[in-house]
Amino acid sequence: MLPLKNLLRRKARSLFAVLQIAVAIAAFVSIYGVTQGLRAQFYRIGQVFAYDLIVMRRGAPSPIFSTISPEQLEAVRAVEGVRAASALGIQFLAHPARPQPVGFVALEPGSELMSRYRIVRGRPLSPDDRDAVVVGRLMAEQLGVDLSALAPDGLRGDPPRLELVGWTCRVVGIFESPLEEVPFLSGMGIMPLKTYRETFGRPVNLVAAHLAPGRRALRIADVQEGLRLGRALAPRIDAAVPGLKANTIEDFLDGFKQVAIVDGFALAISLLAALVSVIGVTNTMLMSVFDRTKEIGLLRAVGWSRWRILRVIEAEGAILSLAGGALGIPIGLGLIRASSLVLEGGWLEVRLDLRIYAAAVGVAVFIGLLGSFYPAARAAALQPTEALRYE
Amino acid sequence: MNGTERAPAGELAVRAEDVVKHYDGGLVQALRGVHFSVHRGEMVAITGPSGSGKTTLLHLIGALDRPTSGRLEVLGRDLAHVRDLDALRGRELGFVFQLHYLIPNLTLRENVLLPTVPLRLPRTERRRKAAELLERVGLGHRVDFLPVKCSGGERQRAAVARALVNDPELLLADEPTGSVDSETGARILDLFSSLRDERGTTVIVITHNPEVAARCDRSLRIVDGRLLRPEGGEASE
Repeated sequence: MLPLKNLLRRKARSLFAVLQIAVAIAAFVSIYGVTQGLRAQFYRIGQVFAYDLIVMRRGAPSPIFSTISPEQLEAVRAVEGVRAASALGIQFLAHPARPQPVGFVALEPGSELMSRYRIVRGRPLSPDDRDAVVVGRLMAEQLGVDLSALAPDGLRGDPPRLELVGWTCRVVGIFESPLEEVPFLSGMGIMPLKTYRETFGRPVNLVAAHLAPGRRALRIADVQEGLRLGRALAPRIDAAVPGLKANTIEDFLDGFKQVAIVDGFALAISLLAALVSVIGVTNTMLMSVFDRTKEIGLLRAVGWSRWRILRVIEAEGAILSLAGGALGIPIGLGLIRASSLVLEGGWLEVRLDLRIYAAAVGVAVFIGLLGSFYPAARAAALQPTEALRYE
Repeated sequence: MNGTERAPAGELAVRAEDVVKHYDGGLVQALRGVHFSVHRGEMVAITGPSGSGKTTLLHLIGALDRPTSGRLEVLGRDLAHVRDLDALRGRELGFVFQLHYLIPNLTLRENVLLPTVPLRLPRTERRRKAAELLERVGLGHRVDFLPVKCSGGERQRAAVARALVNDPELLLADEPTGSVDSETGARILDLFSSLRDERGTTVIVITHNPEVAARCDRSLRIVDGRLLRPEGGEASE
């Protein structure tokens, strides 16, 4: 009763303290919601790629900087246990009407990886295609691709043109994401590997070595089995092809530098926001304690112990923090929604589960209790006589 | 003794032997060897000029501070050996200050209840008692009012009710009538007298006002940190 009434006594001051906490919680919820979503997306990709090894140049900081020669590709294919291998390139091209570049994966038509993209309109890429692409459903929507010639069972007339900066191609098919819950896989396009090499002069970036072509890891046990087989095979590829490193999808994602950077960035921003909030709460509570010095002296005089005084001030901090958490969570959700409206391409999947809400409340309470600890300790340390004489 | 047990009945409510209190490492000598005693059930005034050490003495008796040296027994306990002074203050002492120190965002009843918070008494009993005391000090119609809605005299009477809510054996009042009109001051002193008569409560009142001192059983005069005999010499007791 007393802590709440004390806070309501200085409504504006309490409100600002609540807002400070809310900002930190909003930052926490929005940043972790997005990064957890990103991480979850990558791990769901793992379901598609559990029976594959991702082979890249040893020491390459990211797949884009990995280069694999045709000889190395053939050497990977020759390793015992590798049933098939899909060469893969990554290319980003500018679009005249879009601020973000358009992402393409380069694959050999008919390869194992290519077969995982289900064509829902038009036709798949053929070995003879050169300036032709298939694009994901999401990308087609974003680029406004005219679908009139792309019937569910094949092409009906001339395929639509796609004008990119420095390259014009035709969209011969629309594919669906291999995993429905991973929308960003349909936010890109696929070009023939031959075009990628010859038109753009780009090398193969990665090789997917397939242990069990055509097999999907639908259950957790399948994922585990695929990873186990992959871990057994990876050293053989490493030994057979010096300069390359074979990773299971799990290793590949764990080593994915960008994810680690995003995680670290999220942690840093959240810590900074929490620190600013702690300082703000400390300042607010300290002013409140100074204002109430005589009252604290009175409470001590009538028998309240130091511990009870400390608890009252800490309870005020806890109330502020819970209110800040209650306000910050919806603000964070609003921020995520606003961001998803700005960012296109399905890249921003938000993953908010009970653990994030619980963590947000925990962070809020931590901010409140830590921020009010020094003022509470100071209040508790007041001598009754000094407090009663305080001017 | 931890201060939570009632002291055995004895003759003296307060016994001070050579009580000294220094501040700032001895630069300020607030009390310079005070001897006196107060019997249970007495109503005693402590008078003296400003800065003479009256309030310091009251704070020491009230276990709000500890003496620099000397021996001070309150309700039969040597305060130097009482570990939990908070409990002693909360259970057996009552304070009335010159300023009421009511918490502005609490009603009069809630203010009166503050000393009972650490005692874990049943809520209904506490509320009933607070209402009774407010009735007794003439504030039965103001129980749920905030202090800001009350006059200065009413606030001071509420502060008196707060001091009495734990049935203190020793009531310590520092200029209780200093900030109220004469009628309110007289009502407060009437209440103190009736407490002494009805319950045997010991009352120590600090005052500048000779009329207030005249209402007490006897007066102790303190000057420059020393207690004077009534006739002007320095008191040994």
